[in-house]
Amino acid sequence: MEIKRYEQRILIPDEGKYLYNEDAQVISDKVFLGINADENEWIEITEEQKQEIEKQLYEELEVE
Amino acid sequence: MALINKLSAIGNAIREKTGKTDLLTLEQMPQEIKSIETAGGGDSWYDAFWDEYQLNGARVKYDYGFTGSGWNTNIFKPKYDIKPTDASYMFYGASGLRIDLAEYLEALDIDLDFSNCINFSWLIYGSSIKRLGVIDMRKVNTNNNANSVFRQGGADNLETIDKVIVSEKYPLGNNSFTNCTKLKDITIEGNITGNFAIGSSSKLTDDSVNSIINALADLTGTTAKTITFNTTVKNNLTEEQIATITSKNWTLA
Repeated sequence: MEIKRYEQRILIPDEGKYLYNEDAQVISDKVFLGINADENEWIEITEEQKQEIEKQLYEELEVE
Repeated sequence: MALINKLSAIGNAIREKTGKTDLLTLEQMPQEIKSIETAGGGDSWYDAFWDEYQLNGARVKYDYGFTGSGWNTNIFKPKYDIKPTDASYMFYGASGLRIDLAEYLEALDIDLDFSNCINFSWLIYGSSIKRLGVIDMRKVNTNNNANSVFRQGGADNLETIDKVIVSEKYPLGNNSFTNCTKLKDITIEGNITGNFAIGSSSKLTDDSVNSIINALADLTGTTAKTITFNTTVKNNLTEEQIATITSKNWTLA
């Protein structure tokens, strides 16, 4: 039997804020990081910024 | 032969029979064919249309094949099995096809086989299809060809995908499940190797969620990728499921 242990890292934004990963184009309210994932890929954004990013992503989708 | 040329050939064949000269829309063609009087009667219009449209069963390029709201169950009755090499935009905007596609084709005894298909982009966007059968994507040959595959627009009717056999080299694009709000059942076969977003789908069954989690490739020692579930699904994941995801070096968002 093999016992594996690892640390579960969870990113939780401040209240009213969100997390954004530009490369993956993902906005989230809570992120469970992969075992070797870089937490610096995620930045905290405000509700206003979230709406702006979602608008941009939607516009990009529409012109595909 | 390009699709427009094929349609023109069908139009010419109909005009030759009717003696009319007006151009025909796709929606008008079946009625015009029906109106042609034939000595033998029977299904000659059906055979004429589908023999031409499916090249007597030899057609493989089905890009834009059944595009548009004019396709409905009165018209969409293929005569030959469908084994496309190109299925891009195949059912794009087919809002008249409010059907369980797998069951519908089975009833017609038509086999829809994607195992030779290299392009699935925008496969069913804007259609009303409720269920898809097996979508074998192993021969996809570019990232673009795996873009917006199941993406919904308009009807947003898709509830079930029996099985998606994914390509490891060209994984499903981030927009492949955009607006799939009614999707409940999906089975994934093969390894998911790229960022995977299914964030619109809040109704996924436990079996579907487990199928997706189990299909995530083990990325240990490589760059982490991100899987995005709908918040409702994410909040219902067990600690064990979350550990399974993150221990394979996937970030859950």
